Formats: sequence, C-alpha cells, structure tokens
Amino acid sequence: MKWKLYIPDGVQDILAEDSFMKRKLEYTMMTTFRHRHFHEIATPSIEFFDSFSGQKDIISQENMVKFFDEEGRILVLKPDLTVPVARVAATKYKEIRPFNVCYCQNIFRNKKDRYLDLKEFTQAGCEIIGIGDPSADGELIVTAIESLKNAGLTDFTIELNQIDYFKGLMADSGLDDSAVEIVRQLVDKKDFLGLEKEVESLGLQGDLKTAVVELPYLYGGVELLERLQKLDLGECSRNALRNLGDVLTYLEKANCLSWIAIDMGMVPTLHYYTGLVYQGFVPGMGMPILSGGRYDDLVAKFGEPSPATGFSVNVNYLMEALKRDGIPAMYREEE
Amino acid sequence: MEYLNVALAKGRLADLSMDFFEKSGIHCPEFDNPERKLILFDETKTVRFFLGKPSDIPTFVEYGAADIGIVGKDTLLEEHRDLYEVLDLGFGACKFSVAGPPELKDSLDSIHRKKVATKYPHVAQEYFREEKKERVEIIKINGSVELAPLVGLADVIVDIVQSGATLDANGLVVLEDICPISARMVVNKVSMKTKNDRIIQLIESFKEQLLKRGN
Repeated sequence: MKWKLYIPDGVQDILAEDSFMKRKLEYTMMTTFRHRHFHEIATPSIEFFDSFSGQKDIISQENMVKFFDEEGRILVLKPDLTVPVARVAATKYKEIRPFNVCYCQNIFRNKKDRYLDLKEFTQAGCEIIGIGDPSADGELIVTAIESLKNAGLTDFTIELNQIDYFKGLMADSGLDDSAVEIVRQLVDKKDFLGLEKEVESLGLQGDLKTAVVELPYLYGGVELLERLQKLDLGECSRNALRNLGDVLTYLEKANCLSWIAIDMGMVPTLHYYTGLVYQGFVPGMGMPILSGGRYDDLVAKFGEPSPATGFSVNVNYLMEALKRDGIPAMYREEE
Repeated sequence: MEYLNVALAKGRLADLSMDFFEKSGIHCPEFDNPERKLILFDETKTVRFFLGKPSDIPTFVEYGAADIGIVGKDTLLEEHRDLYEVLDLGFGACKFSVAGPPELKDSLDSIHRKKVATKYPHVAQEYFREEKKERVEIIKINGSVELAPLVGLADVIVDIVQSGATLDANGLVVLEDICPISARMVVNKVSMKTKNDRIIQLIESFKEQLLKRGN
C-alpha cells in the first residue's frame, strides 16, 4: 500500500481551474472544426499493436504502452490518432470520399515527453481523406489557424515544408540510402560546414549542389519559394515547390499568410508523411503545439488506398502557451 | 535589442571560443578579468555569455536559457539533447576509446560479459550495443576512471583519450577507438528561428574563420 497516495510517473490530476479551462478550450476547438464541416468520431483507447507497427514503424515499439488480451494478442493504449482515423476511413466509411473527420481524444506514450513530463496527452485535430489536391491541405491549415485564433492564441507561426523537395534532391543526386540518411541527419542538425564537406565529397554539382548546401538556411517567408523556383532542379523537387506554391496561394486567398513561414530544412525521420508537412510554434516555447501533413500511403495499410491529410493540436501544450500570462479571461469560471 | 545568450563550457574551450567571438567583432573585456563572474557582457551589451559546467551547456541551450552554446562532442554524445549542432570548431580534439590492460589487446572479445567503467555510461552502452551488438555491465565512475581495471572493479574503461599519457602512466592501452571528438557550436531550435539573422551571421563568420584556418 506504499503507493496509494501517489499517481504514476507521467500522468496528472487536472484540478478545478485547469479542468474548466481545458473543457472550454476543447469545446472552442471542436466548434470551429464543426463549423468548417468536419464530423467528430471517437475511437477506442485500446487498439491492436498491429495497427501501429509495420515495415516502417509509425511509432517506435518502445514508445507504446502494451498488454495482452485474453487470447494473447498484443494490445496498445493508442499512441496516435491519425492511424485509428485511417483505419476507420478504410473500414467503416469506404464509400464516403472526401471523408472530413475531427476528434478530440487522449493518446498514450510509454516514454515521458521531455517538456511537460507527460505520458498521456489530449489531441484535437482534423483529417481529410480522399483528396490529393493541395486545396485540402490549404483548407486544413486555415482550419488550424482559425481554431488557434478562436482559442485566444495571438502569436504563433505555422511552418511549412514539402518533404518531396528533399526527397527529390536526394533522388537526383543518385545517392544510396545510407548516404541519404547521412545527408538528412546533417540537414536536420543544421550542421552547416559538415553538410558542405559531405556534399563536396559526394561530388554533387551545379544547382543541385547549391540546393542541398542551402537547405539548413532555408527558413523564412514565402519569398524563399520564388528564389528556389529559379534553380534548375529535377522534376520531383520542382513538383514539390509547385505544390507548396499552390498551398500558399490558397492561404493567401484566405488571408492567412501572416501566420505562415517556410522551413525547407525541417527533415525529421519521415514517419508516415509523404508531401506537405507543417508544425505550429509559439515564441519562446521549444515544442510544436501543432503538427500535421499529408500521409498518402497510410490508408492503404488498411486495404483502401486513398490520399489523406490532417493535423492535430496538442491541447496540453496549447494550454501551457495560453496560460503563460495567467489563465486568460475567457477561460475563467465566473463567480 | 534582445540579448544573444551564449553558454560556454568553463576552461580551455571557453578561452578558445572567445577567440572566435573576438574575430567576429564581439568583444568581452570582462572575460580576461581574473575575478570571473558567471555572466559576462560584451561592450555593446547585446551579447551575454554564461560560463557553466561542460555537461550543463546542452541543457542551457535545449531549454532556451542560452541561444548558442560551445561544448565538446563528448558531452553532446552523452547528454543526447534536442538541438542543432551547427559547426565543428575543430579545437579540443581528442577521441573516445575503450582502454584496458595490454594483455587484452586483440583478445577483448574473449571476455563474455564485460564490466566497463566510465564517466560516460550512455556513450559506452551505445557503443557496445549498436557497434558490437553485445550487452555489457556499465559501472558509472565520477573520476580517475583508470583506477577501475587496476583494482579489479572493471575489465575495461571507456574514456576520452587525448595524448594517451594518463593511460600510459597507469599501464593501460587503447584497445578500440569509438569516435573522434572536438568542440561544437550548438543552437537552440527555436532561437534559430526567432533570432535567425544574428545567429546565421555568427555561423557565417565562424565558418569563414574555420576555412581560413584550413579546417
């Protein structure tokens, strides 16, 4: 009975003030999603391990909370919400495309998160399944911005990248997988000189060389794109830039460009994302409050190939961001 | 203007780093003052230097207390922090090695379950697990690691080797090299965006100096 007064590492009691705020924040986000024609679904807390494992692990095995059912099958507390949504879209809503869906649920990880020390998080997000066109990505980013604004967040940036730009550069340079991984790590660490030396020794030439060496510098406004479009690059990279341009045009028409930045050097290990990717940041906070992107290969894992794209907001991080100057008036319980 | 915060590892690395900053037009006369404070300013008061213990530098930078840090690769490998590692500055060069008594030369693998004493448990664990695909027993030691094999606490040690003089004096030899080490410039991931212009400028200036030195 030694532990009866405590709760396990990585979880928390949410006390009255915070609970009130959290409920209202979630309601505000979900109302925004609903007004923009996303339908809410809920998936179970427990899923089969198989849904989340595969050729390229979506979430690493060590990072899932696992146990067994009475028949010995491996179960997990769901570590992510996009995968269950893809499963539902492929099995329960096969006929409905586009399938516009939203959710607000908890996810579980086996490793404590480095910022809030948590293993249980709430995510609120939207997905569009069945549209490959950049308008779907644009619509989602507008929805994300709208929901953050309605939640009372005033200062944030959504950073965009199109990972096919990097993939294209690598394909054109003809490097093998291990060389690509070395370059990816150098870009991701922003090792400026290391990257230059590596590119030199790999013998890249011309605009391709310039483009790879420049990757860690490519952070800034939409004007970056115009400069890149002048380079003489392969088809995959050029298509990626065109796709990014189309999304930006959509955002410009929706008057959302002031929230947007570009970071072509953001090349994390590519889990399930396949094209456009983005993350939302608040000044002074090290972790993204939002992340999203296109995952055109994921729904096929459940037997129904379909393009798909989506984002989710980390509600716990968003609360931290909103609370930095005390709980905002809109989230205070009236006396 | 907002401060650019720089965390330096106290000691020789800080002295060598300051030379780079001087040549980039950042002057900090206080640095030569023998009564060293922990926080120092440059003349124009736009850059603030913190002097910390080497193993704490990545922590300062990861959490954003410092925008930039200069620290050895050894500390980065051990601490595993989430930051940008933008430049290899070349100085402070040495290596991580496995060392032990000379009779283990060429027969290290004959020990079935090795006992490894080290100040760097992560580096040691990762080397044996990832490179050599074996499990070892790690014994964390805080200083004079060379003692461990001499008094029977461990079979071998994993440590930084510079000239090899300390090993030599204690009758130990390098058995295997793990990786080279030198000083690195690291940058907080958010600062890289919010103070992008100033940080890029500094990186460019350091880069030019490195190329001039033929690095």
